[in-house]
Amino acid sequence: MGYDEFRREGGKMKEYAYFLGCITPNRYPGIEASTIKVLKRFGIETRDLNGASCCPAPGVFGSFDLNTWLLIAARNVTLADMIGLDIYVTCNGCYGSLQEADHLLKERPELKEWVNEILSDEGLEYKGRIKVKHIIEVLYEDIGVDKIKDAVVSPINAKIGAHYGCHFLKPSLVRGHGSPEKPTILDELIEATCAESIDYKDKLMCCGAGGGLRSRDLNTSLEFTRQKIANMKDAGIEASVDTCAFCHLQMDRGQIEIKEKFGEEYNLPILFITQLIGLSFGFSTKELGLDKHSIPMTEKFIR
Amino acid sequence: MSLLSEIEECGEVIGKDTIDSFLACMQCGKCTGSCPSGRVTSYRTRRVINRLQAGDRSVLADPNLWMCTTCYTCYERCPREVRITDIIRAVRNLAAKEGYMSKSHRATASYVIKTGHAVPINDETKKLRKELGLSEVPPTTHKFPKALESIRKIIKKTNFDKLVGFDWDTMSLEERGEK
Amino acid sequence: MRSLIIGGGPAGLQASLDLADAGYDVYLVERYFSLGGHAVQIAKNYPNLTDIKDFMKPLMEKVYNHEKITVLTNAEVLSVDGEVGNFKVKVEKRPTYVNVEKCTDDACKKAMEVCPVEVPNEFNLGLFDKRKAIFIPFSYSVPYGCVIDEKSCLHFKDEGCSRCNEVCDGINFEEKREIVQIDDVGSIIVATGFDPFDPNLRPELAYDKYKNVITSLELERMLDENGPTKGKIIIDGKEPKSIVFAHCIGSRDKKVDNPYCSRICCMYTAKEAYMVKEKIPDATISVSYIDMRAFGKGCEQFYEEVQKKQVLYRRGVAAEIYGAGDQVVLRAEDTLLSNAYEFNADLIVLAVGVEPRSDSAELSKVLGLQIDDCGFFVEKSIYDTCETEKDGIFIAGCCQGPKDIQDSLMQGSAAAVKAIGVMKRCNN
Ligand SMILES: Cc1cc2nc3c(=O)[nH]c(=O)nc-3n(C[C@H](O)[C@H](O)[C@H](O)COP(=O)(O)OP(=O)(O)OC[C@H]3O[C@@H](n4cnc5c(N)ncnc54)[C@H](O)[C@@H]3O)c2cc1C
Ligand code: SF4
Ligand code: SF4
Ligand code: SF4
Ligand code: SF4
Repeated sequence: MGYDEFRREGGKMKEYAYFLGCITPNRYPGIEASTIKVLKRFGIETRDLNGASCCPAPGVFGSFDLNTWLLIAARNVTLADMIGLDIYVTCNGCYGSLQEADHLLKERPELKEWVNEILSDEGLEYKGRIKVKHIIEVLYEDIGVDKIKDAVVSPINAKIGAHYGCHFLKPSLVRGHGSPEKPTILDELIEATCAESIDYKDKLMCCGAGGGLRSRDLNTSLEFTRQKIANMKDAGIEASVDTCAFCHLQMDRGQIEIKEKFGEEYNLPILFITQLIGLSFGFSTKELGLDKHSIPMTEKFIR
Repeated sequence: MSLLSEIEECGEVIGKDTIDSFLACMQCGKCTGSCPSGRVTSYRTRRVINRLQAGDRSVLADPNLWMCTTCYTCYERCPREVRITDIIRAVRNLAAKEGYMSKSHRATASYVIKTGHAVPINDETKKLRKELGLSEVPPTTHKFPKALESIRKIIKKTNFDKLVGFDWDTMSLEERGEK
Repeated sequence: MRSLIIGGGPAGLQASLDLADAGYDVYLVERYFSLGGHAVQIAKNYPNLTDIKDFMKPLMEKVYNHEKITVLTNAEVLSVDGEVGNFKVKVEKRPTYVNVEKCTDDACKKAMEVCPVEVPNEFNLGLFDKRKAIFIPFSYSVPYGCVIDEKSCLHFKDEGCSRCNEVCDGINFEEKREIVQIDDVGSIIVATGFDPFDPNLRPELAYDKYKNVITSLELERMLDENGPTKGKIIIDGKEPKSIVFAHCIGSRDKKVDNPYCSRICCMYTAKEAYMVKEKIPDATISVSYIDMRAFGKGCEQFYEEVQKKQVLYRRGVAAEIYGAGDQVVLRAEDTLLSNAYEFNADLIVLAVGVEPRSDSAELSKVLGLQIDDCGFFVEKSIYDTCETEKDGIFIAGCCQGPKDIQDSLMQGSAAAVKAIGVMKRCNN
């Protein structure tokens, strides 16, 4: 469906600031390209968030120094606040940091005051006018499963393992998307492309990368990943689809590391949700950056 | 100062109520039983909470403290609504203050000081960005040196550079024995 | 002057009987087709393993046949006006379309045979068997005989059916909803009991996902010699050999807004574990618990006896459950060993807690009573758990807070004494 049709149906032209974070632009720019392309299909424009930095990772920098974590995260949110655009992110870590920082600043005036005092050096002021959204929310709420379905031209005929990651839904008290124990939002988006979302053991388990574990103890971190991927393989899953650039790195690159460290080879293709949707919209594997993944795409994901 | 008030201080931004919630832990083990890390390491979530309740400072030196991936599963399920994961972050802040920060973590932190990114760009990705029709360098601190200066100012203000042991003269980490 | 009792479980039955024996007229209003409450779904009592039926059946019959007691089953209190000494109560009595006086074993059997409608049997929690639209509520229901459930009966859909009517002359489709006006009510005792916790509110326990994850009340139905499995424990056609009981499901749990201990589940689990071990001697049984609460008379001794039966108690609450082939796996921490472990089980039994009736808020409005944060009726003081803020209205049994049958009966008696007190006062 083109933009004109979208407008005719009452869709408002929407523009977002894309908070990139680190992994997306610096390791998996395919996620960036796919997301911008998919949103554009529905008339949703993406604006650069100039001068943004590392979010900084909630479980890593939050574990080192919560003050520094909050200030840098608040600065990133404020950059968008200054230009009056809502943010979307393609990483659960970025979401965790920015959404939580935004939440804290909205809830606690004394924190807002402190943050603004420091940000004023740079001429920034947090006002709390904008929202921090996960790309999944944009896909599900702004666009909707039905419109995505309608736009599919090249249906995906494959068994997919959904990987939600952790910080998109949790802590639910802060995120406000309801119970994280039985989510369906990602499964619905996957199935919108005609693919089948298959249940597997420990579907909601963490990929193992977060909280600084990946950098501190790679073997332990990869053991999480290995279990998840082995569980998906056992369930007959042909590819995993995720919501987070960091999970994405852990599960894609991680498979190479698992092979090196544990001698086990899984070759399970890993796709970000907008890469899967992009394929179903007729974009090529190359345009979506899927050909540059550590684990090569299998035939079903080559267009 | 008691261990509790030290943790409260480290966790000021997430709030005293959040930190104090561990006082209500009833040692049911729901957290450990739900913990993906506890299945593959000797980290036991409940034990950490138990030691905090007992005011046992040795928990700060325990490498297991760093085995949590902050997945929030325990936090979501705790029947006494102990804000476990947030408490662990605050306790790690205190541990880091006392010098229990691994070399690899200091390195990650130093990348942000140097580039504004924990995972900075490399040549391979630059090339790929161009192929994908994106700007070669993303519009972040990578492209805007002034923005990087702002990040560094914040870091100096909070003494994050000292916490990590970052030497501005050599723009690298100070030599420091790992505790 | 008469007394009104709402709810015909152990507490309401005992209160009715004591009032009637003291010479007062009693109206007992019970919502279900039969008296008994949850107690009649339970096979044996802890800690002495007596058959609940041996106690409940005579109690129910005594109440039903007592000349001073008018029992209205399938009925509901609509409104209460007036004040202590002179409440005016409006009760709706729904039709059952069967005159139980005419019920005979043969006629009932025939009627049930010809009825084409089958729905899950709610008395057995819909799990094991079906019942017809015309059915006997359970093996020793009081009143005993058939009732027609209007919601599933075809006669009331398109009048296309009256098959039961052809084989039984006790059927009367013309029976109408009645409004019973009861005046001169001196006192009211509320004894509406509890609902078991719905384990789907803890989705990580996968109750709705696996057939071999069941609730303790469902197990009670299997343990009942008169129940749908004739006392056999059968899961998916097989006898389970490894069984875990999981304590505190929906109790001591702020996440589901039940911060209290349900008081009964430590002991009923001990009882169920004992009975399962008797029935399946080679079964491996373990219990995952947080703290063992065996405070009743004889309960600690019974707990010891259960342990000696090689029921393994492991400290640490059930964390999560997943399926593995035909089995289900429990994940938990053994908090005494600090070990995270997995237990492969053929059956996991969730010891569901006691919750207030889901409609307690509505009833509290009808009666002008207060409910607490959890939904239980509020007592006047901790030293007087029967009286309420509303003069002349008393509470007894699980509607006031979780308790076992013994305590429900005692509170029923206590409430009866209080009710007699106010009625005497008002008569003077
Ligand atoms: C699995 C399990 C095992 C148990 N095992 C034991 C055991 O071994 N020993 C023991 O002592 N206890 C046991 N119990 C506890 C026991 O069931 C309760 O203590 C007892 O049933 C409480 O009695 P009650 O009269 O308060 O409530 P209930 O038994 O719940 O009876 C309440 C009655 O009120 C009726 N009612 C509800 N609302 C209305 C309304 N608005 N109008 C009219 N009527 C209404 C209901 O239909 C019901 O008949 C067990 C409980 C469970 C769940
Ligand atoms: S789940 Fe909560 S109450 Fe239970 S042991 Fe862990 S922290 Fe304590
Ligand atoms: S948040 Fe940390 S402690 Fe809690 S379950 Fe996840 S890994 Fe374990
Ligand atoms: S009239 Fe109703 S109860 Fe009687 S046989 Fe037909 S469906 Fe069954
Ligand atoms: S009685 Fe036992 S099982 Fe029930 S809630 Fe209390 S401690 Fe838990």
